[in-house]
Amino acid sequence: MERTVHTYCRICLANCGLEVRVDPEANRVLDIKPDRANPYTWRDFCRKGGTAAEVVEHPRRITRPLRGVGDRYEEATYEEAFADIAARLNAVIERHGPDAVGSYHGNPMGFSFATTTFWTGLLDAIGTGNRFWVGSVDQNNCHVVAEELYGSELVALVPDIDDCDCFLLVGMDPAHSRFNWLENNPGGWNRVQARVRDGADLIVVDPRRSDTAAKARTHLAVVPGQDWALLLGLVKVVLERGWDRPSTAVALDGLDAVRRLAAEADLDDLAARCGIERAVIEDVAQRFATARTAMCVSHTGVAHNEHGTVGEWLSHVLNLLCDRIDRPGGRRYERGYVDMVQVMKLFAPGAEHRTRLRDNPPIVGFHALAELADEITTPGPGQIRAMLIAFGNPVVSGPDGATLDRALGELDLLVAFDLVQRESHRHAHWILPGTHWLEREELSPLLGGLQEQPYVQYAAKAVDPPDGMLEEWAVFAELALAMDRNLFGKPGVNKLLRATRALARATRRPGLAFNPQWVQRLLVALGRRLRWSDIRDHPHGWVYGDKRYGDLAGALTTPGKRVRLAPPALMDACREALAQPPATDERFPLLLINKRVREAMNSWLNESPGLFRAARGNVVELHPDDAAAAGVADGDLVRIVSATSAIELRAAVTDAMRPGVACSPHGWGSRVFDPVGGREPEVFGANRNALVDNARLDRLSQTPAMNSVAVRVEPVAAAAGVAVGHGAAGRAG
Amino acid sequence: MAYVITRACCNDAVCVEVCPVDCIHPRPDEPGYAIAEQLYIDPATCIDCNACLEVCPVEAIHRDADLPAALAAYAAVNAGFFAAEAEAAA
Repeated sequence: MERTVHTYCRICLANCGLEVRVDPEANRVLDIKPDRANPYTWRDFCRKGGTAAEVVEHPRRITRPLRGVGDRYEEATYEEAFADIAARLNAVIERHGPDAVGSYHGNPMGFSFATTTFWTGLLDAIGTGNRFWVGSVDQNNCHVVAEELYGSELVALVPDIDDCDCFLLVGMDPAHSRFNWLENNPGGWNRVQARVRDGADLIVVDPRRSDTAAKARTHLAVVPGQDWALLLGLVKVVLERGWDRPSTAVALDGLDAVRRLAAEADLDDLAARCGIERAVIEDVAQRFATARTAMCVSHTGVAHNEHGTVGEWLSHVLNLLCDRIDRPGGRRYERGYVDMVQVMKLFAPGAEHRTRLRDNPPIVGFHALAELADEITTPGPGQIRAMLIAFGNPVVSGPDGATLDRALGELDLLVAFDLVQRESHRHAHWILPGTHWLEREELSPLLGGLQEQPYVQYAAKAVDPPDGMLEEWAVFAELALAMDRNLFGKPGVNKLLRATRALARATRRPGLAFNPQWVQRLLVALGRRLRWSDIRDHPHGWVYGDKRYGDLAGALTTPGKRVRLAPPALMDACREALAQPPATDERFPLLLINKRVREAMNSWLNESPGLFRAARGNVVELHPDDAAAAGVADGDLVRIVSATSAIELRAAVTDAMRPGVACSPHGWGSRVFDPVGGREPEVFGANRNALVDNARLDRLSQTPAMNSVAVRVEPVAAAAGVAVGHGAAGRAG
Repeated sequence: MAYVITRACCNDAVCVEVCPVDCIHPRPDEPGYAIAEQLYIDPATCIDCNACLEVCPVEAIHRDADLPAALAAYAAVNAGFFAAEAEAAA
């Protein structure tokens, strides 16, 4: 007997609808194909979703709680795990206070609202403010800009592709990213190309001639980290030539201040900083400002730099000055189907906590990964002594992994939640098994505001988790119960948990026990736009309305509901950037950038056998002149050295690179251990983020400059005495 | 990663009609169609959806990961068609 399940892929925000053939008796996925009946995502799909079942059946998958015993792991029961972890966490809290327990969670949790909600519930039960997350090495700059301009950290503006006449894409490669990051445009890149075939303009800003840039009418090979200077140049030209047509969708404050700032900047200086000729900047400014419709979109290429927040801000300023926000063909506000103000009140009350050592505030409730290692290793009140890591691999995703790895090895308690034991889990005292998204059903209401159209899909479950495995939300609830600390930190919640469970048992109706669906249903009801039953009646996904323009004005939570075009924090940061001469270091003459790879998602799919059949791993791309200067030929093994660390990779020599720039994608070099079988760890490629300094940050977003790392490249044979690799052997190392 | 059309291709273009992303060329309305030896899939645009494989009457289409060894060269043949087109256009 076969069964077909319609659900969606929860690897990236594209959320492609899937048709999953299942053998229910064997509880196995037979096949995954795109769901052609999905009214929104059909025409988009990729091999990541197509091979997702390989992770479900990963030969090294953890299916039972594992307790570290000496240098190996033993299977344990959940009861043993909860009792031991709870006792140790309580001991740490009683002796050192709640901040002595730290947490980190990674990108996969963002696709599970149930897991996210109960994770917050557990952290609130503990009472710690030392919460860290992956957004601090990724998207924080967008949250800072959204808060400063629009009054809420969660405002996102979605590209309106099909009516756009001029695309200005900065630091993004939609040919690989599929045009999604903090927004989802199904088939977005193919639709951009269709617009271009119909005559639309395409301008791509990237230090490397990416697959996207190769299709552009104009490719601007910007100096890494200097996108802000290019964008400020565009703003300056638009204002000084009188091409500005300020937003008709929202009221603006601060236009004069922006004019003054633009006047202070010298266009030749900006051109020299970003490496784009003045005449080209003037031409692009005119094309962007005078096109019928246009959008400027900036992604990670801008974000992961010292002035990443300034760059993101200037992209919004450019859009707002040219009436490209919440207008056809520009960047639209999609209100989704939940009331974001209510959601923020319920789940993200303003956190006052500041980090102990660098005194930084949280962004969207979480601190920056760059600070974690020091918070663990620096003695004093509030020092982190226990860590919970859920669906995260911070040693590989974050800066200076070797330092963080050493710090994690010093903890009194490290608990990891995941499907396999990854690099960041090698010192774990406990590993608790994680479910795969094909094994979970749920609604993720917060993703509604990131869709290009009013769209919702309930995520169905294709198979059951392995026998006896608990879903994450239940694990987090059990831990709060075992610690005898109220889930969500609210008095009476544990009593409610126990009482509803008793009721469910007595009536044999499991749905009566408190579970994440209660929260999801509550949010849908509070949103008052959709009915739960209607969502459930659309298994292929549901476009529940027409997209509309003009909702941003009503969603603003700024004083007087006016967009703050010139927030003092950003104006100051931009002036600082202008006053700072471009730094050069003769020891490290190249700037290392990152890139997207269609088959990869950060560090968590690189071992799937169905992906990367041709070449599994990463290389470093170099311009022929830089390769020649370093004495390196195509295919050579080279050592890449920064002030922080060194790694080895094969070189790929290509004129797609801007001279002076090297490129290597992140996510590689993460070992997958075999905690039960004891086989050698599997590893592909090398971790290029190890080269990144954890102290050189964009101070507004607290994000490391992962996209402009000063390095040198040398043939391996010529170098000696530089430590390379994964550091000292750990528990499972 | 992409699907690949191999030498059995009969140019009937039924795959062109079902492709959701228009990545199979030359199409019957394009000038090169009449003289094309076979049709080709653009690997940069293909989304691995399997639609073409299902309708191909002569089993000429394979997933690149499943290409039989004897047909392995066709991955480059398909990609090369689009590289040559791009070069001609430049």
